[in-house]
Amino acid sequence: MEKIAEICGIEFYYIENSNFKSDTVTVNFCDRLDAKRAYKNAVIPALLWRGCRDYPTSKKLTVKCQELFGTAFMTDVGKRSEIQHMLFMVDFLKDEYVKAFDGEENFDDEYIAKEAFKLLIKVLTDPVTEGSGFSEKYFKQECTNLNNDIYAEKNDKHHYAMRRCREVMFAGEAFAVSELGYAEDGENLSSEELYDYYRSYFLKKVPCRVFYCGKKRPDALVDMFREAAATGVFGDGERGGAYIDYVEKHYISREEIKSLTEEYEISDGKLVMGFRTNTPQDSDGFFPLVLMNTVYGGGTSSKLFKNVREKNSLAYYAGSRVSAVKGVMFVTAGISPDKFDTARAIILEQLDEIKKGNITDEEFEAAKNNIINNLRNLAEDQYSLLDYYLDQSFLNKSYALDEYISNIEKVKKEQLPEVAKKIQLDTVYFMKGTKEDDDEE
Amino acid sequence: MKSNITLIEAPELGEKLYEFTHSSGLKVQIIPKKGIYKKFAVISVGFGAVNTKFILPGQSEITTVPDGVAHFLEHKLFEQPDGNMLERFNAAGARTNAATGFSKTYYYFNCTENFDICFDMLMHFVTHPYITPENVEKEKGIICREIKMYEDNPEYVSSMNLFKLLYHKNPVRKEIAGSVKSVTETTPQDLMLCYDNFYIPSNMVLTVVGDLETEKIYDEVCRHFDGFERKECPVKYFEREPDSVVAYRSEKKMDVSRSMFAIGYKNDPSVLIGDEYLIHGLAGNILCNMLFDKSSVFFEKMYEKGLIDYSFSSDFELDRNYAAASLGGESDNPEELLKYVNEYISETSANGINENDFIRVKRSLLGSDIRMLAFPESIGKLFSSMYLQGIQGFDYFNVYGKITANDVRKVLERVYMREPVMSVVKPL
Repeated sequence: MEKIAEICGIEFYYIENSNFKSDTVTVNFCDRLDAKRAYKNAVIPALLWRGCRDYPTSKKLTVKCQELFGTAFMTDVGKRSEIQHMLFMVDFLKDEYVKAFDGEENFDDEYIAKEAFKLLIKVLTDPVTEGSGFSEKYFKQECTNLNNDIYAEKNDKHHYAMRRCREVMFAGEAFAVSELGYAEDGENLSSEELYDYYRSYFLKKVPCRVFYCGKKRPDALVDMFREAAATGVFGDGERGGAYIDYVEKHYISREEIKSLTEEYEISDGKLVMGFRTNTPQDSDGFFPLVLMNTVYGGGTSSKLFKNVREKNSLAYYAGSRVSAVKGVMFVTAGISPDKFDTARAIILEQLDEIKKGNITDEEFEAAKNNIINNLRNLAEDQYSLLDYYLDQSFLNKSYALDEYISNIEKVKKEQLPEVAKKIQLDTVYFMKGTKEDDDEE
Repeated sequence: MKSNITLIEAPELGEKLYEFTHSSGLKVQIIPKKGIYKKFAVISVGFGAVNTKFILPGQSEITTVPDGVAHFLEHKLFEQPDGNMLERFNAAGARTNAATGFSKTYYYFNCTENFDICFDMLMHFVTHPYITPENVEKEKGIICREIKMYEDNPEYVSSMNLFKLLYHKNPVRKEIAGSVKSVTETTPQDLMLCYDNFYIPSNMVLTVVGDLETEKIYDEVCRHFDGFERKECPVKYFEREPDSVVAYRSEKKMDVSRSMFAIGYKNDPSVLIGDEYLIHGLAGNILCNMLFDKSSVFFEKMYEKGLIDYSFSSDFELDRNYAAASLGGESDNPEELLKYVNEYISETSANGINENDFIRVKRSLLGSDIRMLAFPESIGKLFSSMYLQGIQGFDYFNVYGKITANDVRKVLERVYMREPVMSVVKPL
């Protein structure tokens, strides 16, 4: 990865790769999660996708993308620890494959790419407006849609249980803020206020990184951004940094362990346990922690999979995920409501095994191979690759893919119990199913 | 190059394919990808959730096995005398998984290193079941948790209920994993009966993708399969499915924030002969995008009315055993949406297919399909699944050139001009 430009504080990175049949650009606005701004940030991508001056409806935008040989244009709002991530992505076919289409005349070099870049910048900077606001109709509809998405979060119980655990564990911290914001923040928001926010803050102040993955440097893309910037739309270049803080609080006392059970009408119970890892990202324990998590609950040779699922048939899935950067680890399992105590005990017992150093060479090697394979696989898919580099860009200490891999390779088994000993249980959340078994047939 | 290996090239797609049929009847496809790390292999078996009734070779009676047996077998094959294969693949740094569909089961892995070891394990475990009364009993607990997990997923429930509305007899109306009752009743004998009769090389296809040596793959396949004789597959039995649907509406209450709907049109694949099958499938896919994707008048109008949002999607499913076109998403008023759908279909049928829309959508879908070919797993799964439906992967791309607006018109008349059914999952 190479940094190729910086325009008004927007950083441009180029990742060379010619293995794919398409080239990809992502524009990533990365704001620190803040309850006051979350809703506004979340509604903007969907609103911009409703149309720009040249293509004033989603229908016209879609038609344009389809004419460009099925160019994919997507917007999204996500969360990376306490960063709210607003994504604009364009993925388009390389010129050389146009010959697979019957009766297509030869296009100018980079025709698809240039059209796709132009469209991307138009959508970002030239939305449909009305007076001094966004189009009133689009604004209202997208607020309604966002509200519906907020209410719909509980439809996916697994995801929702994770969110509830995070909210309990990080009450009052940025990490607990929802990336979709809160519906009540939309109630008093006007289209004018949002438009002003978009012009004066979103485009000008939110840290922004543009990644491009393709065969050669995207000079045309950089030129087009520079041209747009000349109008002042991206401000004067003062943007805060986007970074992930290590947890605000560590080492809690035993009395502070939180436990919450909530009842829902479902048949499978969802258990989520939140732990504090107490190992900062820039410390020596970082890579051992990544490995320790995999030995514990990452994948099918992990202790949790073997003991919760295979040995005791307690769950269909059981695993752990660590945000080593953030200093937290979550264990999740889908269990029947009467198995709560058993599952909780086995999950803690397996962590104790690691603390005691009971890790076989097979478990350790499997975890290592697994992580390395996953990392190498990243390079085989431009979306994952761009994702990896975006995540790295949030860290004080970042690693190129090869560097990350060699650091994993260097970890010794003896280091794992050391990092495990620092891990502390913080929150136990149980979404308890109350549905009676109704097995007709 | 071994004499029975055929090379098929598609230079315009930047891809090629080596294929051969082993003496055991196993079909092998090798898709070379020069210069990339990732390697992918998949074995697909022509045995899925719908195959619970069949006539064994040399018999005339129909044999019936419990629902969910194909899925149960998929779980069980990963267990070997020396441990769970999931673990062994993981130890080699590979990612492995399997899935049971209505008419097929497939087993695959992805890796960057240790391909030879993994390839050997894949071929070995699919051909060497280790099924004991104890391990079958143990697996029941895990599968029942899995069934419960699906029951909590409103999207799954609404699409499952759609099939229950569309089909009287076709087993696609039943859950792929079976029910808690059918799983509990499944015996090791049921599993072995299905294994012995359906997991035979002539009912399988092996597809590998990556920077690999064709000759070496060939030799490895021979080493594993030379001991297998070509065997006859049982006749898959299906009860005659009436043309009618079971009912037009179903409703279920769940803990969701707004209603989720699935609207479906019953389609009959059995009448499609030869090329018609692929043409119908692609034309149907083009049509469902023309009618309902974000470039359509319908999407724009309904979105503006607030009757749909970005969760709205349309699908044109075609399999040799069943077929249906569907629409799904979330809405506050599915009944009203359905009224608009019906009006819209009649209008489209009266006004005819717009030639420009047809050309544009076709071009767009071909572009998206070509992009997917870059990924070993996508191209491997596509070619494997196509083969089981009797289609060679590149033909799928070649057919794009042959499809006309008239083919699309035919699908509109045949599939969408009948009264649709709708299943809704409503908030409590």
